[in-house]
Amino acid sequence: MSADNKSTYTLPQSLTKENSQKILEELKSFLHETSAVQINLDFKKLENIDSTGVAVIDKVMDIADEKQLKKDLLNVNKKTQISLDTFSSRQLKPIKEKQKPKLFEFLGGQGFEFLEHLKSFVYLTADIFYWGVGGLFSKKGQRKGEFTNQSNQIGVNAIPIIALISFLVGFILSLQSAQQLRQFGANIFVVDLISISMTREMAPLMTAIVLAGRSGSSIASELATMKISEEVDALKTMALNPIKFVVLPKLYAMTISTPLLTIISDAVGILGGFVVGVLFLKISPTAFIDRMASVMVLKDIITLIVKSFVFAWIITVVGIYFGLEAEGGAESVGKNTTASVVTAIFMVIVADSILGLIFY
Amino acid sequence: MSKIIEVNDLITEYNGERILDGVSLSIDSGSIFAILGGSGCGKTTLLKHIIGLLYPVSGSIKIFGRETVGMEEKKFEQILEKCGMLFQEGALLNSLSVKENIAIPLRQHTDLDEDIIQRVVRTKLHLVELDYALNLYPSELSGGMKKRVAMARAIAMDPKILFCDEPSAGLDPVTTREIDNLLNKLREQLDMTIVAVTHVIDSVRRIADEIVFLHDGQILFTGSFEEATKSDIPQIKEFFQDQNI
Repeated sequence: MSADNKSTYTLPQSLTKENSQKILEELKSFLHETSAVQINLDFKKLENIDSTGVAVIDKVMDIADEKQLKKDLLNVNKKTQISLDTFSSRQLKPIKEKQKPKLFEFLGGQGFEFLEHLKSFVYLTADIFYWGVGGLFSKKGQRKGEFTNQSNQIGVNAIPIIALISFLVGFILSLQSAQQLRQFGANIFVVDLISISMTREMAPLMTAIVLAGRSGSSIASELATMKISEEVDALKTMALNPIKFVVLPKLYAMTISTPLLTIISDAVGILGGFVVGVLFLKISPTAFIDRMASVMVLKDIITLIVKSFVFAWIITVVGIYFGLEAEGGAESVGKNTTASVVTAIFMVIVADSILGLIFY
Repeated sequence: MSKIIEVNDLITEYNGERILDGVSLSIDSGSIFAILGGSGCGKTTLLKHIIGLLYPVSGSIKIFGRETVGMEEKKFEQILEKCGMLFQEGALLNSLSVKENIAIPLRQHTDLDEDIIQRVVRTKLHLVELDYALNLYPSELSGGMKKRVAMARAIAMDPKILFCDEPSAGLDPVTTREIDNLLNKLREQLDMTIVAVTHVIDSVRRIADEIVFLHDGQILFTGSFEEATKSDIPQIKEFFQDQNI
């Protein structure tokens, strides 16, 4: 409606979230099409308005301001006026958005953050091993029975899955290589392959990967939950060292369990190869065992043991670090747990390469 | 005044133990209704049954005159769109910023422009006096601030009914009074019905039109706050005496 260079839009009976978008579109068209210098919004029919309705009115007023149009609200009843006063966003001061850093700021920030993480990781590692050695001589501040409990959870409970995976890896490795070796009549060399590769490489690596996914994630999520629910702070206020009380039993359990699990993994993996050798390659059991005894040397066993200790400590320290780094809420627990598993596996593989070179 | 919520003979059990034992109540539209009682008496359980988070053994719950026990999920969601819930600990989504938390119901249940949604978010945050927290994350907020943001989220859709589980728990007296004032304002200006589970007597005195007193899963008293303070029921007398009323 247009009169005396004024245009009036009569609002409907209700302006709520159910029809706000439709009315907004109508009002935008009304503002776009009008040639008047003043617009009026007539509230005479309006009985019901909610906060989205008020937001629509605000938006229209802002557009009118941009177009330098005069504006007026007509026939606003008391109830509507209260809603307009309560929900109007026009009187609110603008809030500054967080500025995104520029490229070099971002890169510098990431660099500093990485150095901070590295420093914390080194300090925590030193702390863990300091208390780890000290804890062997003094049981004060450690939880009674927790080492057994953790050994059970980390070690005993992991035996079935590690045995199954190792058997299948040994089985597949032998089966794949048997195909090639048979062509050259070198069936017996499958024994060399499986016993050395399982002992020096596959058993420590497979065990570490399973433990990183199973126990490393469990350590990280448990500590992260403890951190965000202030349980770690509670321990500190009770004059208890969280490293000694919570971390040491896990470290000791991992240190004992991982080599034992690796030995089991090695034995079961070789058993997988034995099954292939005996059933598919027709190698006699005695020949298999004799050959295995002749090709394996002490260095292979030492490699297995050293790797398993190193991997155990990597998984534990990484899990503890990411657990204690958690901040905020539930999201942080998930993020840090994932980060702990990914980092532990990555570091295990890096350490494996280095140890592989050392024990070549 | 019409009844917006009616609960009849509600019975619920947990591990064979009866938690609510024949609870019946009705709530007037546009009123503030407080559920009072000691810890473990079943207040939060009752609230969770009304909003459909728990399912009763038997009994009836009507919201907006419609039976919700056994109601099809999609139909119940339509009812929930007209309700807001303030949880005891706020229950904000940690991965989202304050403004994103408040915008969730508006984005999911309406077709509004993002600009309109942001205006509504700002006004709701202004109502709880946390304008400056717009871009913060829940992990950057104190307990009281989280609760106020949760309140802003609960009223984002201008619900007809607002359920509050311990709205004042863990808040300082000034913030408690501000929350109470906000609840009164919502009731008066928007005809919102508010159902609050609480044991903060000062809050009840300030806001409640009607209270029920729950004890061991049963309603011992229904009436106004003044009537409750004069009640001869031993458990209620003891409850008020302990709080120096």
